Amino acid sequence: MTGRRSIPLSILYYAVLLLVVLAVMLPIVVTAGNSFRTQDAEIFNYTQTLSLFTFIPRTFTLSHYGRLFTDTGFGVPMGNSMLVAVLTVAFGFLVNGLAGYTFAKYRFRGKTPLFLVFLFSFMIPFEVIAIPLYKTCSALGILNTRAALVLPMIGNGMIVFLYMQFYKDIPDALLESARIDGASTLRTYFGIIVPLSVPVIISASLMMFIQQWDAFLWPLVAASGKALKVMQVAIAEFTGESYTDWTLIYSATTIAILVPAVILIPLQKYFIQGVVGAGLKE
Amino acid sequence: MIRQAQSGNARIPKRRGIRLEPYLLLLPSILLIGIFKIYPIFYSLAESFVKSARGGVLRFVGLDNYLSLFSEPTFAHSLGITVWFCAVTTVLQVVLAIVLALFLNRRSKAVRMARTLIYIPVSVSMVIACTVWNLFFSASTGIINTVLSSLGLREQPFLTSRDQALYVIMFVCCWKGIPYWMMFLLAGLQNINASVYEAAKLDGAGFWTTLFRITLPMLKNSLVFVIISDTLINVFMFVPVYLLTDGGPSMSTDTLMYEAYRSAFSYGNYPRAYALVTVMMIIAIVIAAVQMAITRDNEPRAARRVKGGARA
Repeated sequence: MTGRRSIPLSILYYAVLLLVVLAVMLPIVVTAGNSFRTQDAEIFNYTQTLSLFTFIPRTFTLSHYGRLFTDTGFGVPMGNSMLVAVLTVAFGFLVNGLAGYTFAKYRFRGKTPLFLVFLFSFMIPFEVIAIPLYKTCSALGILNTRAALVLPMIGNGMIVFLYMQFYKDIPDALLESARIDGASTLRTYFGIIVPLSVPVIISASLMMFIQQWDAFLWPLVAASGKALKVMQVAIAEFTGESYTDWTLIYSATTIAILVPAVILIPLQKYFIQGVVGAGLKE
Repeated sequence: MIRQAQSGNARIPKRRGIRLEPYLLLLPSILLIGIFKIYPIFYSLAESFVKSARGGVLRFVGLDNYLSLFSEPTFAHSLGITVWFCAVTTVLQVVLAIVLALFLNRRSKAVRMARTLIYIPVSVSMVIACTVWNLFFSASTGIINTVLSSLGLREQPFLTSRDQALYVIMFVCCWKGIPYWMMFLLAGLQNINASVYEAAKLDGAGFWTTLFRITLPMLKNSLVFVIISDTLINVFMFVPVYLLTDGGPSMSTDTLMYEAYRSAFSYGNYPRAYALVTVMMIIAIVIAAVQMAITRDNEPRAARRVKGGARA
């Protein structure tokens, strides 16, 4: 774990490292590769006997991505997913950020029980809630609307907890001086606190974005009509209908992997801080 | 966590009477979490004791829904599959996540790049993971059988076999889950001060002694969190069954969550679904409680071991 190693050991280490990376990445590389193949038949033919071209394409084309949008109208679910995720992130920041701020900086009656309820709400796996939540949303008359996809996912105990942890470390003197200057609470929050909280806002937003972008069970039951269908549900249908246009499935899948990866890779540090921080801080 | 909430260093000047402000600031989150997270839990709990009689009138039936659930052979079968799936998958994921975290706990540019790539499955959704692996595991055209046959091995039926389907699902969950759980363990490892290892080395502690006497005990908080959270997720595993097997072949992958989903959304039998969900919630709470009890019990000893290991 620490200390220097001999050269052969180092070579062995990096060889194993390469193998691990390959094992994790291979399915993604093959997926992307298959989306560039000129024909479905090529995928099939190269799985008959093993060669390099079983894994990567021999000839490249981008035409399936065009087909995906013109023939299957993939732009609609893609836009839906994006819209739902962005709305959740934006409202999530307002709602959970203010809640975290209140828990961090106010003393009030009922604070501890309320905080316990918030904690409880994120310890219960979403799958437990999904079925009764369907009834709740049905009673509210929001099933098969975008509200059903966004509203239940905004209030998030884990994100509140994450914000609270961060805001606690902001010195109270800063708030007091703002108060003395006559700034209102919201003005202090948005003018002073928020600009200081960019790291935690990035962490929380990434977590909420990924959660919504990857969500499946809830969108499946709450809003699977054609106009509101999100990407994960649309892709699941490709597989479900024993749809055999493989290059299309692979290109849709590649997009679904690429979007969060492109956002996440440069901001990975924040994502890890957020996920690990919300889980492990005591 | 609770204690911190109480002692929140609120130095904002006190005024007389109850101040409305904190409640107003919390109102949106209380409403949203209350309506969409807390209320449904109690709703399903309450509904699991009720059955709709003729004319749509609700009638309190006590434990009837549970008793009829427990008397079904399907329930025992699904419970068995859920427990087996959860036990094997959690052990595999946690052990391999520890191994991988130890392996990647190094400061070098190459390792940092490798980590970035290994984290990619974390953001790949379960739907995508299943879609991709479904094509790779396809018995007739899958890339995995291509590799097997080129190695001179027999091709396998995978998802179409009642003996293999559950293990294919475990594999997919591991591919996606191991990097995720490793993230927590690696963060825990990086918090361990290098001087602890130096001291152990000076005392002549070998690799295994260091691992079991120092590294793992110091990683305890992260480990407990990972084991509990992972167990919960695996008890409620749903998407792979829905997408890959529909509970089959011959119900060999029919987990409790899939039964609950089918009860509600395929058969419209909500009382049964609520009873199932409540049973799963109790299982989850029991698991969490047992694990917490075990770890609390071990705490003094583990702490002593750490000190002893670092100093002795």
